[in-house]
Amino acid sequence: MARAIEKKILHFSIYDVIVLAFLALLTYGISLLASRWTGTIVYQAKISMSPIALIGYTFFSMSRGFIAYGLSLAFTFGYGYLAAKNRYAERILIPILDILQSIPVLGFLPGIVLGMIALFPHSNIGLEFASIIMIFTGQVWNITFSFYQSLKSIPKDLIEASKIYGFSKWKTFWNVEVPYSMPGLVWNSMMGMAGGWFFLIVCEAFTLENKNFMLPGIGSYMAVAMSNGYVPGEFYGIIAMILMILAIDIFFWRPIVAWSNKFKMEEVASEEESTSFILDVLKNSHILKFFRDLTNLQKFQSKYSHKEVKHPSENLYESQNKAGNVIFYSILGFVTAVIIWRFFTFVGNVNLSQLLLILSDDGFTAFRVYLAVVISIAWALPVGIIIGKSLKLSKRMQPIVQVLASFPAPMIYPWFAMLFPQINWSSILLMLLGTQWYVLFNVIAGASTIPNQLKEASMMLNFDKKQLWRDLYIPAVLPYLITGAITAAGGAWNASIVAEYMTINGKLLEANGIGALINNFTNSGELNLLAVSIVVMSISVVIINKLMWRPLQKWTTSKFNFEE
Amino acid sequence: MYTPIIELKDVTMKFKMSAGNYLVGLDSINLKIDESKIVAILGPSGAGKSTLLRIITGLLKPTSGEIYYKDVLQTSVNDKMAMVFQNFALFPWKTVSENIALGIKQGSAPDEKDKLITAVIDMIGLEGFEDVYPKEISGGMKQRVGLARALVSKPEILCMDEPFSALDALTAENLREEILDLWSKKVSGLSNIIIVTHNINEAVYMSDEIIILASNPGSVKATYHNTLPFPRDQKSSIFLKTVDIIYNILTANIMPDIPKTETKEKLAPIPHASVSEIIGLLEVLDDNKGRLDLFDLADEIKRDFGTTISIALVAEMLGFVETPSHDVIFTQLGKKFLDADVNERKILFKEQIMKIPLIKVIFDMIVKSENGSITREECEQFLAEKFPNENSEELLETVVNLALYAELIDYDSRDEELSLISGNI
Repeated sequence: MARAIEKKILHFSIYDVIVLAFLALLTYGISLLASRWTGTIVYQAKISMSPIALIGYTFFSMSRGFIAYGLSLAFTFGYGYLAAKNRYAERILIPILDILQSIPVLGFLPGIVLGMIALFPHSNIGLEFASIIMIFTGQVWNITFSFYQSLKSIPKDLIEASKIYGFSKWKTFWNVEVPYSMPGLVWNSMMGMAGGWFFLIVCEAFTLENKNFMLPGIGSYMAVAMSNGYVPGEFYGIIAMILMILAIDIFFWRPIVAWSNKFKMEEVASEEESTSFILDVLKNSHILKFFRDLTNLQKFQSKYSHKEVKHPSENLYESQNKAGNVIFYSILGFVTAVIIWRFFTFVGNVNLSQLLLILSDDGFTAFRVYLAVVISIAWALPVGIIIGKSLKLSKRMQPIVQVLASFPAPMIYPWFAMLFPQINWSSILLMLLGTQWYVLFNVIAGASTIPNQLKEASMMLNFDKKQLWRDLYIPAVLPYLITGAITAAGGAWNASIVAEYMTINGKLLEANGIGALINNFTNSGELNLLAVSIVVMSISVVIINKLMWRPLQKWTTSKFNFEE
Repeated sequence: MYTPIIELKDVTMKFKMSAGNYLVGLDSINLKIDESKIVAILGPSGAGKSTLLRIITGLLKPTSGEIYYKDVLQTSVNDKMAMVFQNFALFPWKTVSENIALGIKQGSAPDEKDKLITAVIDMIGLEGFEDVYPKEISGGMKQRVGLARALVSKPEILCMDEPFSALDALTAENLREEILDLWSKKVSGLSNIIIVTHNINEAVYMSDEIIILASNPGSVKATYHNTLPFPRDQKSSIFLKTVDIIYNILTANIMPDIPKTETKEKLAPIPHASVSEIIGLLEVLDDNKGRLDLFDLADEIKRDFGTTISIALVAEMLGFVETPSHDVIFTQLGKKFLDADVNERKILFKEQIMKIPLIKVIFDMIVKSENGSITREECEQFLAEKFPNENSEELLETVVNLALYAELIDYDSRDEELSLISGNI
């Protein structure tokens, strides 16, 4: 034993140097952050256009993104777990999640900001938390959905094994449920983080009740540069954003994806295992190995793993408890009625013409959203199939497309807006920039799962190119296309907040749409009108989902799926 | 002037492996197929049968060599050939009729098409299923649809890639009969059926010619002319004798009776087998008075004979069995192993495993290495260089699993390193 430890201390490799350097950088960053958090509150921070300042701003934005992600994970584990485990909770929580997903960031803004400032009236922490929570709302919903779905589809034999071995809930959670959900969690987290960056500008520079708020970060830097028409600044901001995304991809996501390979439910190791230099650094650094052994999680877990030795409960199968149902639904009905009544008293003073404006603008935005989806499909369908059906091509394109999709389109909106100042139409283009990637990703995924024998059969049957696309490729990806379209539509609705309203070169560009309206009501502080707009937007999203998208998805999945 | 309808000249197929090495899948295949014959391509799994069929049809281009169809050099997919696939390859969103219609050449008039479809549905026995989706029918029916789709294109060569492997035994029996029935009715235009299989019985039952492939690398070991008259009885003595002959050709190739001293010194790859399979084999032998014919053994353990032979060979390398001609017999050592308890078994296993040259070489590599360990990659590279005709990844897996059981080495999945157990040096 002594010999082994001796060996470890003596060894000091290049990996250790890298880890130490990184730790030093991290320490410096944390001290920066700490000084900001404990400083007295500054509602509207002065943003300098110098590139040097931008480095510090980048660090602030990055820290907000990561803290928000930590919040997202915690929320996911709590909310998703509750919804998956409790029948009653499920019935409320999942529809609520659906609705929350459709509420744009600005909808949460007033409540969050006012609440946080009330909690921390004198230091910056309140503002920071407000910004972080706003970023959180851009990240979290899909991650929660994915976790919930994974929990509901855990293979029966894993559950039965944990029951027979008397695992406590804690042990089951960390040893069965989380590992099983890991691949979905990782993928959706990557997408979620990108979703957070999308709204970075509006999360760091916003107006509420005619008061301007500005937190130091890349987002606010871009906002100032854009509104002043300071082009070099716009460039620096974009470069900083790209570098930040690349750094997070290489140093954070790649190692995690490579690590999470061990959670894939496959019988045989696949030949395509992602590799990551950073993961190798972490694995081979002796300093980290030392700490890993010290804080061996096993010791920590055993304290909790036998806390409750559960015997298989009598009601393994949830019986239809009639009385329980009655109570549940009556409480639910009552609470809903109260909420609706409170809502109407709050918005009671909205007159008819205002309501009509909101409804018609909602219609305009809806038109834009669906046009954007159609255009996305028009190009992403063929491109996605071409990329997906070739293993070589998809391997090469995947990291590129991922970085492209993570880049927040609002940062390059100004140039598009300048080219096409008619914002009623160019907002469609702007929505496209944000959401077409969802269609592309899903089509690529679908095209890459076409069984080989079917491709060979098509060759033997002498399919010409037209028939190949019409009879094989397009039908095969149809279920995936619909999933992508649903996500894209949702993203486009949310994007309307930033696509229909922007200040470029000192000029305000506004479209006729509900996104623009929501901006206006937030700025002016007309919270009753804001509430109505949000409700109208949410209802349009949710209703169209229920009436059109979900049935479409169900039909395509049953007709076009490959089952063996 | 007689010409074979299909001829392959010096066809070689190499596959690129991840470590930058090549695996030779097929090595200099030369063969001729005559008209009006049912030809079976027979061999153990991994011999390259499916690859060979795909080269014949033009789905795959060989690394080198030429394919001739009716004396014409083939450069792309041969449209006079049709294929039936192991997993049916039906389009899930098309009905049975629509799937079959895919086989009809472009440009036919709609009622012409309908006539063809009806005719073939009649021939195969799919009446009533025209508007049904593949999801809703059984495996046997799906394969019938695959067959109908192949036949409706009026092929000259019908290729079948392990067409009954995904079906249960009864349905497979049934379909074999139907195909032979079709053949006897002389479908117009159909010259040959080429069927890839790993089942000796099937090959003898159905074909006129059996091309026997050996593996590692894939090559033609022999071509057997099957002159048994139709209808063939699988229980008749002449049938069984034929099966035996084919069987001997296969085993003579895979399990040659080379004197022990020669094999002991040669650095040879270890066939793929797991420790539990080896122990299981010994148990089965024990139940059968210590001696079994390979064929019966394959039946007992419910594996195809290729896999059975692999397990027997590894057991032989360990000195637990002997394999004269096509029998497998317990040795004293094998009996001793079986009767021992877990710990004694490990000691015995370790002793024996060190006598296998390849294991000894790898163990020495670890001992001589800098910090008493080698990476998985290094080991795989070494194996790929020494044995270019083997799947080095699979070989490494076998070596590691045997050595782990023997408590000869340690393997860490996270670091991907093979190392010595601290008590071992």
